[in-house]
Amino acid sequence: MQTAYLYFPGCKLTPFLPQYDRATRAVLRAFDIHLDDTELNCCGYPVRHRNLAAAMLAAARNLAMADRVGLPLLTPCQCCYGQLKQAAYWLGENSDLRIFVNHELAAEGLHWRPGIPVRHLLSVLVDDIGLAKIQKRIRRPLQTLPVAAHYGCHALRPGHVVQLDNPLAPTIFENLLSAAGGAPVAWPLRLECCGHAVRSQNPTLAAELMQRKCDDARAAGARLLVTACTYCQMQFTGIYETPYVSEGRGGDLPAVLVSQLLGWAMGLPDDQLGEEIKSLTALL
Amino acid sequence: MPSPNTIASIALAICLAGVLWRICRWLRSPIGLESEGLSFGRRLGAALQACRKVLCSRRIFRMAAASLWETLLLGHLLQRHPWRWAAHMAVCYGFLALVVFHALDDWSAPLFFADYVPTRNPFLWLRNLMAAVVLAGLLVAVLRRRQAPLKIPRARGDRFLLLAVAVLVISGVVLESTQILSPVIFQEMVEDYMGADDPGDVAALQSYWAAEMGTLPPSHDTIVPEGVMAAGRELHESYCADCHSRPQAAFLSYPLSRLLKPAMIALRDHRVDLWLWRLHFWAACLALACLPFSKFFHLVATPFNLLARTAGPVAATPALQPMRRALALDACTHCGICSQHCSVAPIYRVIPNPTILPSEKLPAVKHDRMSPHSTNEVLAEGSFICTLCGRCTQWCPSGIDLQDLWQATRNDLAPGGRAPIPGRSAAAPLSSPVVTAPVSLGLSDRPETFWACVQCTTCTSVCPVVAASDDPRGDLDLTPQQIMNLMRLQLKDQALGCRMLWDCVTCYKCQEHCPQDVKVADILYELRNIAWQQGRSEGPANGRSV
Amino acid sequence: MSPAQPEIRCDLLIIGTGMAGMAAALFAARRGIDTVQVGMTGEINFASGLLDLLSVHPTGSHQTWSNPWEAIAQLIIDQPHHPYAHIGAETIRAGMEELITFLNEADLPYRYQPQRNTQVITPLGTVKTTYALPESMAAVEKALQAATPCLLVDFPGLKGFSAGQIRATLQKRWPALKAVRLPFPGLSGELQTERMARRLETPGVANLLAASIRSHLEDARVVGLPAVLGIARTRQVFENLQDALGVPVFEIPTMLPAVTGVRLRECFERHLPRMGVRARYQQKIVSSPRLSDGEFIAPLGGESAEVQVRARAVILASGRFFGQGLHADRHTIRETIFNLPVYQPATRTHWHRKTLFSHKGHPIHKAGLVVDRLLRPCDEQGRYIYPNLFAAGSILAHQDWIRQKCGSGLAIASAYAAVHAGQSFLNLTPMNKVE
Repeated sequence: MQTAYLYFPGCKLTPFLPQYDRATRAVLRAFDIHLDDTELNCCGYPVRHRNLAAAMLAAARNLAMADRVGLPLLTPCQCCYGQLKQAAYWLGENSDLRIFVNHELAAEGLHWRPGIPVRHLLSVLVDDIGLAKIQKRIRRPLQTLPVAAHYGCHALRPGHVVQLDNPLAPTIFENLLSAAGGAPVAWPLRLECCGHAVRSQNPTLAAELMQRKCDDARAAGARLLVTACTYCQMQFTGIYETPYVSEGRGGDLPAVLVSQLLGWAMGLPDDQLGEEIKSLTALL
Repeated sequence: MPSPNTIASIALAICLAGVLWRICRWLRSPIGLESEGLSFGRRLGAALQACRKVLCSRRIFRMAAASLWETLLLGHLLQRHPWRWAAHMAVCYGFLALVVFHALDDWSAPLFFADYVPTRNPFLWLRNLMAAVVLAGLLVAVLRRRQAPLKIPRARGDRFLLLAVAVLVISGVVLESTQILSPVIFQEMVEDYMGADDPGDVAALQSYWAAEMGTLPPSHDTIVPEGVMAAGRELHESYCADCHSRPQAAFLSYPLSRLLKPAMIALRDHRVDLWLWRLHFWAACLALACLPFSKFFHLVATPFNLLARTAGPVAATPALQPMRRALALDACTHCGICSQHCSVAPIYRVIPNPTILPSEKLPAVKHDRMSPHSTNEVLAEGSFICTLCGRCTQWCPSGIDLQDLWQATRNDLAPGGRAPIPGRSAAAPLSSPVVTAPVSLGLSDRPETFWACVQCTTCTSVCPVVAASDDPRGDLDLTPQQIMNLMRLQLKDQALGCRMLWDCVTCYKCQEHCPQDVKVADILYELRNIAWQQGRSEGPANGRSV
Repeated sequence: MSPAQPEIRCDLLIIGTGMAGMAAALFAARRGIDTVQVGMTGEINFASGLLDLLSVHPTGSHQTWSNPWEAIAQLIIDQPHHPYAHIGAETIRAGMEELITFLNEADLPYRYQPQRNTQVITPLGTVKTTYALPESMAAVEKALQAATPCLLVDFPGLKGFSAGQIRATLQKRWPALKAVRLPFPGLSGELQTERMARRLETPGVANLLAASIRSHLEDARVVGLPAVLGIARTRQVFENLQDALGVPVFEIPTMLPAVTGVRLRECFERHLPRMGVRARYQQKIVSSPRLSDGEFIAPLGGESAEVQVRARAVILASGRFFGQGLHADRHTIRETIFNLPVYQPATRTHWHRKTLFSHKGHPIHKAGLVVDRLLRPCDEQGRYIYPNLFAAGSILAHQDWIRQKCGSGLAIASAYAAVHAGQSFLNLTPMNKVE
């Protein structure tokens, strides 16, 4: 039976990181996973710091849509994932919020209820597909390339809300990279923020946070960063939302997205994976 | 009173001057960083050069094909919104046909039809058909808008456009129905064409017309003898039939004339038709004169915009970008499709700032006469809630590169495209969220939230923002643990202005490591929400330079 | 779409991520036991890094022992209800050795003398007796004994650590002690040890620090600093600094939370999952019902649980009051997960003595779970409650680890004993065939 998910690319993916979209689709297609492309809306993360109710309504609408379609949500973005999980958590906890959200959703005939599954790409790969199945598909193992798995924040913490993995000692990402033949390094700052969250308010701080991570990964021997989040990748590779930014241009350690790296190891054609693959192949 | 031709000429002149003025405005557009220091002449030069390049390239064929498919046939709309397409095509082409074959019939008709007479079929029938098509299109458009899942605010421009078209068409239909009824016109025509002075003949013809052609009878209750009717038919055949088909073919105005008949009997000696004609004519002239200054202008701008888009990179040089954006503003028809697909539309339900929606942001940009130093805060709020997902651009039937427009205006609103945070002004919140929306989770008001806090500094110790700072006091004002202490002391207000709040990367490390399960990061989020709500908080935005 | 909660099956569930929980997970993993570890982390951040075994007995007379094993022997005679009395010296020794071996292999080296305690100095300048200490602190013992000329460094902005105060307190015993306050490279304002430690891990910072210390070195033959020499890369920072200064360096424990605890935590976090422990940290367990077949079922995260763990045996290492293994309300003290009987003073008025800083400690500090020799919690009659529930760490009754200076030893030894008891239970009980 073919497994299907309701695909939630998130706002930034299509305009700024289409290669993540392509690579993710290609990898999942290889495992016979169908992605439903029903139109969804912003997860609410970008407006979360401005207005709680707006963020929660936006997230809840997506969850309710998933309920209507009858498929679990799958997102390749960690911030979207975190926000959707947070919304489900707080809607369950806070009745004022729940009543408000469901009242608004009712105008469209939608309704939020607990228990609508949300999955991040990493869990789909590691838990739903399984490492054994992935290992079987590896055609070009990464030759124990020292790679640094960048976990970032929002898919991991708060741990009891987002439930991706152990928030203090996660292994999911490293396990996946090992399965692809890489040699994930142990680096102290792997769970820290990439800096994107403050990029517009405080670019200096954002760049500083990113640089610390790059330095730390390099000090641990890594030659390549691997990300599993649209925002983190935009931060590490210096992709900005407007062409007018004169600040820093990304980190000095090459970064690839998890589906690009996995797709390459699986032997998928480069044109399905994107430019970043060059920084990977240059190291092998 | 000047002659109709003079008035029409004046209207046309205003229209042409207006179009020219609008085009000049494109060339002066201040939107986007590229516009700075770009003179009118250089832009004109760049535009002409782009035209030349396009005309000399092979792309011209592709452009021709594209303009046929997209501009003339609205192909992309047909694929995605067949009903909207039908409505738009009906209004647009119905109206165009009326303009060409009815308004301009003196010029256009001889070109196409040797025997054109407006009161004869098929022209009579066709004119009604066109009017019916336009009205049907208008009806569908209005109904569609009513049924859209997201209610977008209606703009004055939309109403004017719909109203102008409706007034023109309806006044035309009513005019025709009064003309059908008018005994005065009948008398004039008799005098002009039959030249008969035999009152018997006139009466016979009038009886015939009253019975067969719908004209008002001379008096109410005359029973016309059969012989008179036959004479009338004969006269009709010889004098009138060449130019007059039976008005029943006017399937809109004829039934209307039956409805109006009782009223017209009372008004039989008044030239109602003349008044209606004036209304119809003035409305047409007014619409023509208003064309460059109203939504009608999209008739010019939208095809231009589609063409410019098809031209590709040649027409997207930095010198042309500001002009393209101004053109885009004029090309918008406010159809609202973008907003129906807008990713942040649900947020508009909570924060009722219409400029969150692309269809409303665009007119706001236009109205604001954007420049790189705009201080429009409502627009800034909407612009920065937008996530630049690009879906509006994907869906825009006018082919507007909205993404580019938003990127440029963001930069104009906040140099570097940097999201503003409360503190840009001490003003009250821009748009109060709807009252029923919960403001916060109430964490910061509940003592349970932090009564377990023992001020152990773990949150501060693990904070990457604190770690990145050489001098947290100077950079951040307060550390997370100090903010939690203010909460414990019920001094929430003091925490609202601190920089830590805005430099927090929401990484949740503090919360995860808190040995007492204090929701540190959730509280920081909540304080930010409150600061936004209050539109206050000093410092970071003001203090930080570009 | 909301199916029955997914279930994680395991042989052993360890509740708690403090020293006892971590040690239990380590011992279980090394014995190949299929283990899930859950709990909220945080308390281990408060570890000083020193592994105490037993220093003070009896607490009333504040008698310190230089040989912990003699102290333990005496304790077992004097306090037959103390958890050490249930565990026995040999088991305690085996547990300590296994844990220290692990830390050494895990690049967090420790030094100890098998037969005696070691003396270190505290941030207050007092001398404390402990058993094993991190290598980065080891140089203090010799220097203290020989009163070697020593330079103590502190930093403006680091609260609770004053080189001047240490010097003043130790003046008589260690006259050749000098104190200097130096700006910490690149940081100003209030300092937290974790921030300083992470800074020192960035290339070049340790050298900057060394350079500014060197100019004050003069005749000093050894340098003491607050414990801020890195977290994950302590060894590199420590060796780097020592090489740059040319004299031995030692760390002095700081006020809590301290990086010494973070080092231990991160070390366990890094290694336990690799050793096969299924670690589910930051998952609160609010209750854990026992099924009719004797297995425990624990929903992770309470009411909104997405996952539950089903275990054949459980080790409860949920800590005392700060760790929320025990909860004291206005009238009584209760155990928070299984609602086990808690040994405690009869009424609240008997919880505390009149003197706050009494060496004897307060009766409430001996409250906790009474266990049998296999560390199974017992009822008032001394009968174990469940054959497959074991307890370890500070939740155990009849001990006052703070005053006895036996916190780590108690945690490690009881974890060791509990894992052994649990292992025998698992081996003796046939596997549940429900699957």
